[in-house]
Amino acid sequence: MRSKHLSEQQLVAASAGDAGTADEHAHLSACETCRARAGRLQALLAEVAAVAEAEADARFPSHRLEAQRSHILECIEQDGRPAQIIAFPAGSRAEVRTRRVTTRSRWVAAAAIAGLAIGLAVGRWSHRQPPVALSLPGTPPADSEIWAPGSDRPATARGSSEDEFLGQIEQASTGLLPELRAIHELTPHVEQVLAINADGR
Amino acid sequence: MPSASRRGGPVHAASPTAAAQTASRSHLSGDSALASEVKRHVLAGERDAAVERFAILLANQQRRAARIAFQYLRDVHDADEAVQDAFLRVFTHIARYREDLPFEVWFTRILINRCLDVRKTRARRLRWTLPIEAAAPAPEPPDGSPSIEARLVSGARVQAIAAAVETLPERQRAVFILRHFGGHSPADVGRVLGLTESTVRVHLFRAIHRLRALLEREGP
Ligand SMILES: [Zn+2]
Repeated sequence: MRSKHLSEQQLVAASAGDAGTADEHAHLSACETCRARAGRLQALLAEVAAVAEAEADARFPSHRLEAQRSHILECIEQDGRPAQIIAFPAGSRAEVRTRRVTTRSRWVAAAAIAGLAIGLAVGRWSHRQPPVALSLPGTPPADSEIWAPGSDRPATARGSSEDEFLGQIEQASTGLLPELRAIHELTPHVEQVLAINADGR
Repeated sequence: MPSASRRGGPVHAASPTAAAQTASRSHLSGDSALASEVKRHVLAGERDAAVERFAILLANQQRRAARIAFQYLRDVHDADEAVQDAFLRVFTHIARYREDLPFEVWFTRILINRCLDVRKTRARRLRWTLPIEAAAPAPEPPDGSPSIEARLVSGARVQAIAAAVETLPERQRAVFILRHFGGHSPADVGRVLGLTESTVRVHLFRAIHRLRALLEREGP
């Protein structure tokens, strides 16, 4: 053999379409072992990509993309006025089932905490943390930076008020108020509830 | 309203071959030009023309966006939300689009930001709600008969692949998705995620190394 086999890193680079050095090319064309290794890796990557695309396309068939497109354009036609982003159009029953979550015990706890929160802490949090976001020159900044209070906000799905409500509860229970933190700690977390259900039902 | 649905979408690569990436790049420059047109119309106050051009841009980019968002979020509703929101932001903020940047890079960056926001919201929801059903059933087509795609995605191999990709650490997964599902070059992945190209290559190598260990079958 003229030179030692390609390292895994070189192989990955070659399989991912990187140009590689002249030596690597020469080795690859001369060495059957490395060609076979590269072929296997390329086949694997192609399989992973094909499967991922097929999976996403099965979830977003053409009629759904069309509905999504129409809705985006409708929102724009309304000149950016708040329009509710539609939940996924006419989803299958399976998806509806998947999506459904009960508000049972956690919501009871949440409501209790919220009640207290309103009593104890109105006005103590008026500021939401901006989301962790990538910034790039020319990239629209995070939500909170773009839309001043009272201005038109772009549509956000599934009720931003609910999210804000949850965010406020969360902030109240974790950060600001010891009274609420005590209650929060008494309330089982969802993983704990699932574990209890799995073990003890 | 302009009907984007009548217009054809781009040809999408089925695998990350050099040819597919070339096709993706050549299409990309067309979309950058379209985005510039949208921007020009918006700045000139020609809203109808802007919306008409934007509708084409939307149709061109939509499937790719859905694929990236779905692979990133693994939830069809969350992905839908992120995609809708990202496109609305593109139109609202098109005046900030810089023509020296490929539109696809700018848009993907916005999309990934929306995905991060959606995921944050989802984590919050999960904290405060109790799912009735833990396992998500396989998707069904509207008429009830499983499509080829649905049958494909229910296969064990497919599930193994999805599970393997999901085990990748956050950054490796993002890099892998953008490179191999989104068709971005390592340099563009770096621009989308704010990483150097060499960092992208390191993450990519680790991701592939791990996927290989999890997925590579014994040779014949
Ligand atoms: Zn060799």
